[in-house]
Amino acid sequence: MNCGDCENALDDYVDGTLDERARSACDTHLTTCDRCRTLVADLGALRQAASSLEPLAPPADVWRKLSALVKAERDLRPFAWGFTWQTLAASVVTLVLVASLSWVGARLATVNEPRVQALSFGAELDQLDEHFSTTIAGLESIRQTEGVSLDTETAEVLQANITVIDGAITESRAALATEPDNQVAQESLFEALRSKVELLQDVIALINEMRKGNPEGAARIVSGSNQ
Amino acid sequence: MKAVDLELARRCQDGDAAAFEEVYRAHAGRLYSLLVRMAGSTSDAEDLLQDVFLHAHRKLGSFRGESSLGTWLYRLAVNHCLDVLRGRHAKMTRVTDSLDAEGAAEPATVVPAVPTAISRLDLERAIARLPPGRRVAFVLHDVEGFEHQEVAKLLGVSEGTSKSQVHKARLTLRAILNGTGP
Repeated sequence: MNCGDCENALDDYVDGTLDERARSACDTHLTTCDRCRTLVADLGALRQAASSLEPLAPPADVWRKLSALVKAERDLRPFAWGFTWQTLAASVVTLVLVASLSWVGARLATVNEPRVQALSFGAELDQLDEHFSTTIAGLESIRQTEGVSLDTETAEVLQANITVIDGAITESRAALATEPDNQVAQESLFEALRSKVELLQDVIALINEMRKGNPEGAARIVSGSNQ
Repeated sequence: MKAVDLELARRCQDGDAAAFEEVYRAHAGRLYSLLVRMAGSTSDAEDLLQDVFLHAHRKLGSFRGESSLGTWLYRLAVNHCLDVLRGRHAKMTRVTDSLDAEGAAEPATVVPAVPTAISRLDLERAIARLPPGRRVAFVLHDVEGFEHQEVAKLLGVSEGTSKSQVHKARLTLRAILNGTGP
């Protein structure tokens, strides 16, 4: 056996899967060849070290995030997955219509909130983005029509918050345009959209309380929005 | 064992948070270790681990106890990681195809010997530096202990390709560890 033969049999030799005859030939060669002997020793040590690697512990943060996601999904049951998101999105849109037509009843924020953290599959994201955008457009329309009821300072703070959220939405969409599967960008986009829906819902509820002349109710909404 | 796993899976399906945490605590370490080494990054492995368990939680209803829960989760983790790695190399049809584009194995020339006692940390770092295809084959064969036939089946390649990948990985690791590697 020469060095080339030995090298061809190297991995089987190290793995212990070489037949007896070939192994014996290798052993004979190794007694006379420093280069091959060193190579075999190195790969043997590597093999041994690799098979002895110890388990690594995941950071505690992984479980915290995971358990929160699982809880969010569990809260959405018993709906099936695809149906759930459509239903939730449709619920939000329906609320805009209710708010537009009646201006009565409880705060819009009491409805089911989309659990954006649980989203992870691209096909449903575009659809939900569209629903959110429709909802936001409806709420924006109401805010702009009725926003005159807000005092100047409140309106300015509101506009500043909306600007920040819009910036996050724009950045997330830009990231998704280049990396559609980027999960961080997906989550950021829907977190921003959800935040905007919540903010606008609070604003409409606030305007409604002010129109009713209920400063305590308005204060509660402002307090809740700031938490 | 399987009856215990089935019962645990059923409790998870019923929304028992403690049962799901029990599953996570029992298997997260092994899966995380696998994912860190296959992906070559702890941050990627954390995301992958979360995805695997989230996916498992959704799919536990399909667990029939034909294998242990640990084996079922392990397969889920390997397949998910391979899917992600393949996605990153979308131009290639298989992870291991990328090896051909990465060039041939370094020839086993005369080089300084690797340290007699290879430190765990050095080896972990060296594995992370391997090209993805070699890394996955090496991890499955040399670290996880699968036979080439099993590695080939998992990766969807021939047994010969698996052997070739592991061979190249070993020589690359040797070069990295003795300071002459890429």
